Amino acid sequence: MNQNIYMKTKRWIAMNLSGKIGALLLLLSAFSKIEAAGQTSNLTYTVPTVTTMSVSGNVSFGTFATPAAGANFAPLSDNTTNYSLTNNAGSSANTKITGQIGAALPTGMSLTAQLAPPTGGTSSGVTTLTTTAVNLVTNIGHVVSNNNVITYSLGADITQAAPANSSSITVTYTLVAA
Amino acid sequence: MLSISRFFFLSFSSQSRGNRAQQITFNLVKRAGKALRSALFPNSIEPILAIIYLTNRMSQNAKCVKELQRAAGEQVDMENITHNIRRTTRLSKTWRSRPLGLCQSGFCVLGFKKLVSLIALIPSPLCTLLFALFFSQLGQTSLQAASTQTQTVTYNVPTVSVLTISGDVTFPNFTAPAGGQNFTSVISTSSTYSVSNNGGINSKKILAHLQSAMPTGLTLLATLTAPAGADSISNVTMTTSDQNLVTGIDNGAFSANQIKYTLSADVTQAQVASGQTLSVTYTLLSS
Repeated sequence: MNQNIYMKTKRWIAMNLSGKIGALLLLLSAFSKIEAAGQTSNLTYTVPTVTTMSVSGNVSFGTFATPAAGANFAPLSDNTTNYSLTNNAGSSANTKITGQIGAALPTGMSLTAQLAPPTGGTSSGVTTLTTTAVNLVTNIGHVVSNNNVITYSLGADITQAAPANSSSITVTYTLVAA
Repeated sequence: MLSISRFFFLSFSSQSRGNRAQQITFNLVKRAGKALRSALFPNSIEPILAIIYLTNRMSQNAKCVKELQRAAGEQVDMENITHNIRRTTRLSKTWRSRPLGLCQSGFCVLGFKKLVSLIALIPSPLCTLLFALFFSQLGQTSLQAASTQTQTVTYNVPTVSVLTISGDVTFPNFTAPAGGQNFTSVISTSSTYSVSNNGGINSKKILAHLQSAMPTGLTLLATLTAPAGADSISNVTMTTSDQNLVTGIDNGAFSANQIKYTLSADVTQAQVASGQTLSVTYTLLSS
């Protein structure tokens, strides 16, 4: 009896389930392959906005040469310093360098600056510095640029400029989105 | 390099979990960050950091508004902020929050003028810790909306007080006078002087004297044209003592100012002479 039931069950399984189990195993196998083939790895990164500028050092003009009688002081020039910048701000060439002096110059004194532009930038040429920021270089795009020359010219009008010893002027440069 | 000096906490919206909720939250955070930026600092390029905790409780939202108002003072356009918060809250109520959804999310949002970036989507309170670590490094490294550098320029302006005379003078010969007449004076205006001075207003004067006494019967007068702002003393009889010729010289560079000499000879006293010279010494002196 038991042997008969066993045989019937075996036959039923063979007829009804073996194919389905096989198909199920096949399906699972297929899913397994799909999963293996479709695995992804998400790589997350950040590119920071960089807007940096550095100036190579300070400037010492020294002393105006004593002019000949009846003549004014000859301007002093300096091109010993430079600036470097790294910029990736904005989507286009919309960054600029402005410059200003920290305090008003003594009467009779004048200071101009001319910055050599980085590649793609536009220099404003010889520009008089005041306590209000003025554009010195415009149209700066994404660029890494080093050792761009800063040319200063310091003027003293003898009619107005009082004698001074070791006077200093602070020039502030700002690299900023236009 | 700018530091992040504006810092806000907001507390509104969701407690939901799941990718869809996070995506919605992300969008809301971006919207809120933009609203913050435009409302608080419309003209600023400075980074603004806002940490936004999202809840769906109106009471917390109201508290958030007060906190924001306290932090930002008069600069806050509260009507605008409140509008955005209410709008956000309405949206948040459509979410299906789970009762046990305690994984309140924290978001660090950097708001730039035209950009809001999601920096982190991290469960709070870990968010707060990580954000602190992140931004403590940020000031040293990457986030820079602008860069400022200063450069010191030093100089000296010397005291200047210089005087030069253009050259020597040769008078024309005295002409023989008519009978019963004396010599007619001879005049020279061929020489000039130049001055540069930065000693101040009325700071200088010009003096002159003869190196040696005039021969008997001869007289030398000098008149120097004054520079602008100064005073000239006309026809000063030259002697071996210094005498003022120009006073009240201001700062300036004054060139080619005329020197007029008038030489007179008294027939009754002056010795006949040829090629005789006189030396006049000029001094620019402080007044």
